[in-house]
Amino acid sequence: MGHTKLMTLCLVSLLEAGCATVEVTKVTPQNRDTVAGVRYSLPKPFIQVIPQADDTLLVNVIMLPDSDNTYAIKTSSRWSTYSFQIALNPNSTLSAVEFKQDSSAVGQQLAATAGTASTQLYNMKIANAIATQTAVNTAQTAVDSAQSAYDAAAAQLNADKANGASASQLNTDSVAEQVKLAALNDAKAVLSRARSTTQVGNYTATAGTPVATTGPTPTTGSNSGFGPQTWSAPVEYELPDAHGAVLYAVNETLDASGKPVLLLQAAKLDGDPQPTFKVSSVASGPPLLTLSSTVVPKGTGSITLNFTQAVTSVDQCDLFSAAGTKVTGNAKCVASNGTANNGYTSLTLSLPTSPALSTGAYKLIVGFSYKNAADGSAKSAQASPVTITIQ
Amino acid sequence: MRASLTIVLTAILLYGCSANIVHGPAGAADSGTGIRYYQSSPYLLVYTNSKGGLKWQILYLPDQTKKMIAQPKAFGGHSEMTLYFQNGVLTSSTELGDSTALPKAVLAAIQSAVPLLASAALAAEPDKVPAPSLYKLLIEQNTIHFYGGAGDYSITVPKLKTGG
Repeated sequence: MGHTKLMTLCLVSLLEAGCATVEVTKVTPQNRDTVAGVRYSLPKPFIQVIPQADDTLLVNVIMLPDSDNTYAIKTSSRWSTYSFQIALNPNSTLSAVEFKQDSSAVGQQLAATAGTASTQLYNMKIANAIATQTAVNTAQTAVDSAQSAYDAAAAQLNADKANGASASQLNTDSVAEQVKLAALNDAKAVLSRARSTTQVGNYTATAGTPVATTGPTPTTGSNSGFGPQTWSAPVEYELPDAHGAVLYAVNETLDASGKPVLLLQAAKLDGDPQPTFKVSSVASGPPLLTLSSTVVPKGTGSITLNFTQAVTSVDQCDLFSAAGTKVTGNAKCVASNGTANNGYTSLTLSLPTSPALSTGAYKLIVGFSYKNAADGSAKSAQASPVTITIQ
Repeated sequence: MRASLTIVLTAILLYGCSANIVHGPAGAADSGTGIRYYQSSPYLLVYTNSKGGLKWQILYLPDQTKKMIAQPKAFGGHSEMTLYFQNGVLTSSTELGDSTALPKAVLAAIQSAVPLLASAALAAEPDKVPAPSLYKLLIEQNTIHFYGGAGDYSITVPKLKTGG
């Protein structure tokens, strides 16, 4: 194989390898410490349900990183320029990926180099041909001169023979003819060698000029999705009692027939889907009613209201109409949901039912006693008025 | 000289090559080498408002049964690829046919189905609020199929009770 063909194969091979690649590998427990690349996770949706003080639910969807679907992105480049940007969300999920690669410079350079090499090869061959032809021409001139000298010597010998020259003269002429003949034969031999020998021309090779290249430019700017990420502060929820929120995992698969199977499964903490946590009331001051207003239908017999912390007794229970008139009859409050020793965390307000309260807004004033969480002393307080709307 | 021409022609050919991105399902083995993402699907979330009614909403969530792979294919030449994601779902692709708004008639049909879907969940234990229900909406042959159900745990709430 000629070296030109070999060079061609090498260059084509280099071109074929000239590319940049993105390779994503799934991260498993077996390879998580060894696999290279930027990690990202696919999100796992969860339904977060947060109890509210008024018995309603605050429900939202949150996305958590799924460790079973975590991947590593690795990039590499051979014979090309590239830029790679990746933006991750705070929860390790992908926000944006940008990959730019340019291996055209290799092709451009190769084309330019091949063109330059071809030109130089052509020029070198021309120089060699000229050198060879020059050598042949020089030898041919020498042959021509030698032939002419030989012919002259032969003619002199013949003329002296015809004129009856002396034997000494003829001998001199004969020697001169033989000398010219020998010179002629030498010149012909030189000509023959010149024709059969490739001459090396005088040629100076010039180095190729590298092609000017510009690498890919990463996208920048505040709207590009890349650059420093802003991590917003976490949302803080306030729950009304010691029960935590419930996180339902959205687990979805396909059954054997290809139909979706969707399960909403509560995540468990220590085996409990809604664990209770220790709470403190030291900084809470006097107990408060958890509601400032509520709406109940006409004819409702009782309403249970909650305290933010236990009270020892309910001492005042006055219900006023919108006009400021105190509601009499059997409207009364009873401490509930607890014991005398541990306190009560609720009160039950009984409403007149015969006749029922007319529709409208009423104001409930509740006074109570409680144990001060800071020093254990007995205290009394009045809760902020609660608006009860009968409709 | 012929070899040189071959080099030039090859270089010209490769200089003209470009790259593309092939999107396809990841498959159960998930053994590809491209960038994984989810397609989105519509889901119906239903839960009680604790006042005898319901709250419901149509959500678009990443569909865990539709994991995709975006595989950049670059061979020579110049190529650029930018993908944007939201919640693991490719948002810059036009292939997200599933994320288009549901027709109004379909939404109306879902709304009419809500009481039936949630009725079982409304029968909660005392001091408990029914767990929310989540259904995947699969529209096949102009019919909506609901896949899913209520959460497996009812939520404990503070005791605000009224009596008759």
